[in-house]
Amino acid sequence: MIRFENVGMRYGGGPEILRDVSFELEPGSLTFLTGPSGAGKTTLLKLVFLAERPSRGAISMFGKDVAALRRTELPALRRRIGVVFQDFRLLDHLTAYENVALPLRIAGRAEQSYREDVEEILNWVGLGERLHARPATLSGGEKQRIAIARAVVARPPVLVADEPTGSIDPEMGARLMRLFVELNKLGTSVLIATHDRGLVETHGARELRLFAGRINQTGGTRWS
Amino acid sequence: MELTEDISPARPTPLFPRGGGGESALFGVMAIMSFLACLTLGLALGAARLAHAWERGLSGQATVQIVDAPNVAMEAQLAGAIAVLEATPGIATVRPMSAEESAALLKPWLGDADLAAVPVPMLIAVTLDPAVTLDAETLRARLKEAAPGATFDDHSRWNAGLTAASATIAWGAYGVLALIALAAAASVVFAARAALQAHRDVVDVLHLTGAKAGFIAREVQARFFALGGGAGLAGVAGAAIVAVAVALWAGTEMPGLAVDWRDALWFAAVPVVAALIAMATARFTVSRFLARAA
Ligand SMILES: Nc1ncnc2c1ncn2[C@@H]1O[C@H](COP(=O)(O)OP(=O)(O)O)[C@@H](O)[C@H]1O
Ligand SMILES: [Mg+2]
Repeated sequence: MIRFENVGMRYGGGPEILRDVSFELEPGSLTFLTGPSGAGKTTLLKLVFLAERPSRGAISMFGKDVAALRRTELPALRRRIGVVFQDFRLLDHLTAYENVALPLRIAGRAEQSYREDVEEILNWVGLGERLHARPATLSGGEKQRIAIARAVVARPPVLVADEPTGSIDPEMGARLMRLFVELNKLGTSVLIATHDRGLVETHGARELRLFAGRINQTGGTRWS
Repeated sequence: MELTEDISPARPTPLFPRGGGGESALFGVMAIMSFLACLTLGLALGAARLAHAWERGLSGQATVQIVDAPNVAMEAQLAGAIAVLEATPGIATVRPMSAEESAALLKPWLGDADLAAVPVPMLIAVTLDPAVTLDAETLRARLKEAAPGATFDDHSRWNAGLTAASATIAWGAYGVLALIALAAAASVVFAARAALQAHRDVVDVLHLTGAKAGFIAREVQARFFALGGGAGLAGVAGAAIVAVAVALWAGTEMPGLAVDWRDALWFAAVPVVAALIAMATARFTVSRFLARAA
């Protein structure tokens, strides 16, 4: 459903961050994107969630050539990709409930039609009691869970998470990973960027290894 | 479920937090603009009304003066002139003045001279119908035929200059209104851009969550609509205070320029226009901003 072919990426006139990156994400797959800090993981994810366009090569998403997309076609595609940003990017003046409801509000749904969905997702991440809390009053792990809830509330077929376990304790990290695995079992394609190779080993999933801007693939147990 | 009742406020929280776009500064600027717009509007309406009134003949009065003409008796001239006047649309009443009245009018010029010795012109007092525009040229031509010694004076030569001046003031004021609107729009452009820059993070999140440009624009323009409307109201309130003061102090002496309460509707339009200018400009600015950001 997402395919990269010989993708190159540079910021402005800077050096090429990604070189000849080719891979494909299948529906329902669980994939880890690994590599040391500065390897270009975030850059690659930005291409996936359409925050950046490649400087060369071809990206196709849900059967559409990204280079040929008109600006008005972007929102519909972006709604099919849930994103957990490395820095959460919660809206500070909104409550947890309102943050999680954001994608539904953007999709034009009425508040009473999504109330239960949002509550259900918040319960699922274990924050059903913190509906009214604003991000400033939440711990790192709680913010991360709000970010995950927001990314999946509209049930996108693809979920992308950038270092979701990076800034929290291992116990919370394991708990979040269980959420991702559960989502994946329900059919969502999950792509997780991490510099923690241990995660990959525990889950035995497919791994895209970024090094010096290039990709090395190693097959997981389910996809090869 | 009990909990659901107070999960969200009655109205959804605006996605852009308050502040960041120099909002109070914009409020002040828009309020001052609205105040100036009200004053200018008052001037425009007053001048237009004055021009209109003068065009019609300020007093609604005119006179026909008949002097001796060769070969026509004064009485025949008088009768002919009255017949023509009464048949002319736009003339409400026709009243020949008595010799005493005419003499009284002429007295300042003639002093105590013996009036019997000079040929005193006959005067006919005419009141004009304000609802009908008088065709003075045709009337003059027809009067000449019926009474060669008659001249019609509707003070229009005197009025023409004033009418032109008032019309110029009115059009000038409309021009100033347009400039005020333009300046208000320009200040909204800056404020909207500043707000978007200040809340760039929110714009990015909305974008990446699949918000269309129209959705983001609606969020922003709703804020500016409220801000423009509020500032407009403040401006009108200020202008109303000035208007009351003018009505109290100068109103009776300057009937044309004084505040006419029928104009209230125009002033009520000022906050609405301010709100619409702010909204439309903000929408335009956001669309431009997002088109560049993609
Ligand atoms: N917006 C940007 N402009 C210029 N260079 C950038 C930008 N974002 C990232 N980079 C550079 O790209 C390289 C890869 O960064 P990143 O994709 O964030 O790596 P990772 O997520 O693997 O740590 C780094 O050298 C970084 O400095
Ligand atoms: Mg990164």
